[in-house]
Amino acid sequence: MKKIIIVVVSILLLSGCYDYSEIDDISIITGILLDYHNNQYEMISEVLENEKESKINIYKTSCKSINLCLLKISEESNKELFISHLKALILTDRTINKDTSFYDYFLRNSKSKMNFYVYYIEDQYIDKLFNNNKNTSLFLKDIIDYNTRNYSSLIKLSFTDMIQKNIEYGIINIYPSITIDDEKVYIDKLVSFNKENKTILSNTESVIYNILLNNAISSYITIPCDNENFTLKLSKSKSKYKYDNKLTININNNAILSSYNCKYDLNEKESINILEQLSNDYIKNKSYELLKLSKNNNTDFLGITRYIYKHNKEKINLNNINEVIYVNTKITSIGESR
Amino acid sequence: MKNNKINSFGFSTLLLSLSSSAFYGTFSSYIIYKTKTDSFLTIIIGFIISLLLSKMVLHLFNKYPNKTYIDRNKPNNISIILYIILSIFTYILLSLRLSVFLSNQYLVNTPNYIILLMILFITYYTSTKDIVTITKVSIITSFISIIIFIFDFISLIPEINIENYYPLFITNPKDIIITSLLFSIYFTTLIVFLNTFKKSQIYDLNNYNKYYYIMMITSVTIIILNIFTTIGVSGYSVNNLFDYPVYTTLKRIHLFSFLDSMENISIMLWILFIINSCNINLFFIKSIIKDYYKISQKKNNIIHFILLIISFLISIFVFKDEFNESYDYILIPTIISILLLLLQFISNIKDRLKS
Repeated sequence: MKKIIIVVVSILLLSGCYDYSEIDDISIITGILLDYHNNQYEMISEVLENEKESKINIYKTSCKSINLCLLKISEESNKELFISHLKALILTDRTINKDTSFYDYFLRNSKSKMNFYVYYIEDQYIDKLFNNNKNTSLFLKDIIDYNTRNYSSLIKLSFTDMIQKNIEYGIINIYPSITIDDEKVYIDKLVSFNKENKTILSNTESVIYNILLNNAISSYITIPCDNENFTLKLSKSKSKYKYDNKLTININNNAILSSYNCKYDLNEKESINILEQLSNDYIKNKSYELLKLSKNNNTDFLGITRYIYKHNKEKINLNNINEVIYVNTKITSIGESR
Repeated sequence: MKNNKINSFGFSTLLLSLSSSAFYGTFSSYIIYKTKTDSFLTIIIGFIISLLLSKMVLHLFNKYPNKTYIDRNKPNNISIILYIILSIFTYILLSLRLSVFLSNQYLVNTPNYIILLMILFITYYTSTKDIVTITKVSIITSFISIIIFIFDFISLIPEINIENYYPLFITNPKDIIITSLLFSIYFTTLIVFLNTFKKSQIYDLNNYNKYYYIMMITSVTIIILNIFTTIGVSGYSVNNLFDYPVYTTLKRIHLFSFLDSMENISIMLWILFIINSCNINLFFIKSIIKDYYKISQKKNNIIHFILLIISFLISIFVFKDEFNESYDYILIPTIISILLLLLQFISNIKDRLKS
């Protein structure tokens, strides 16, 4: 009898019944677009509410802090806000460049899981992003997940990764950038900021970026050969770094020939060697260009100075680093046809 | 287990709980803050020191297997009161730390004192039982904890980034030494409460040493691997932002793209270790009062209950039902731990001088 009383009392007092909320009484925030104007945060939130059926509501608020903005949304919707299912945090350049600790709320709130992704959006697309017809935040997550798995031309910037790069020495954040064209939402490039300097990476540069940072699971590169080109599907790309007064980067790739328009006869081994050499030169040149872009804009999105600090405990200016890149691409398959 | 006798495995599982419980909520954030990527070195040095310290703590326990705690240590009135006061404060710190964590993370609208009351109630009830029950509880909870830990570790391995372990050897050696000493104190102090047993109550003494070392090594391995994954997943700079970095790292566990919030199950490990430690803590207080003052079981139960009420009131009014989450909270537990170890050390010296 005593044990039954103990079990019942424990269940009643320790299972959180006191704080219980019905799902109809909560609003689930799935996406937040955060802008910063005139010392105020302007927030557009995508909120999932359940009454007779699930529907998406968009709320626009502006206030001095994120907590106040969310309280306003809670008042407007007349429901308790649930932030644990946040999927997307979209930032503008004002939010990124302004030295505000906008992320403090998400770090401090115990309900925040911090497992959402962070994106960048240009001003022209701000009002077009969220709509009542579909859950844009989930859609953005799907784009990123699919792309990083199959094309490696984007990155998954999780909130904790963003914080880590913000506070660690020697690396600048790079954000997937949202574009909206005829109501179609897609992510087509990577963007990095260093104070007012904005660096945009094209599709190819983004792939090279992921290869250099060992983020490329599967990627495609189109390489010119004379007046034509061929496309390689790269898998198992591995970049190794070494610093000994100069930075040496060794990139190894396994590749499958995905499409081929060149004049070399694929029946001959020599042709494969030529293609491999062309690939090596192409990837090497693109890597050098990316490093030069990083140096010219003084935006160390590759984290070169961070690598040197972590392994050699030296803090070196990015522009004072000399680098040498070696690439070794092995074409393991030329596909079905010759 | 036969007739108030326990086996050495059951005894050693208590060792696992006692050595690990102070770590998760109290010390993990401090180690990472102070020693950053050199935390592993700190823990290893601390563990070596704690092996020596634990031998000191259990010296009389090993030397006089047939004697009770009071007969072994021969405390006087002042030292027994000091033991009781320090043990009560240890109990308060352990239970308060857990209740504050549970309140902050899960039951935000529930007052701390309700959660504290439940912890007090559960641990009081267990401590009124005999040592066989306490060790049985400890065995079950240790198995569950180890399974949870293995699951967590395997789930977090894919999230680890090797670069987060660099740069190495950036910590001031003074910080490493002080943190190692603190680690050894925290790792060892609660083992004092194992002195509540007579060694002769362990019926398979030939396995005692084996299980003793196995559990000490298991305990430190769990702690090291927790730090290993915590630093490896987010880096020490991000972990310094949190009061519970181990718990925050557990939030990164996602399974099969739909299983989420696994940290809520994983944290059971810490809860079980703390509950076990509180059980044996209270049992220690109860035993030494009964043996020293030679009072009846009924009177002892009443005094035991009163002491529990006093602990609750101290938690509410002195600590104001909360814990300052800044690094100052290291100071109070450290002072209490050092005093407890000192008392044991004085008993060892007295015994040596007599013989």
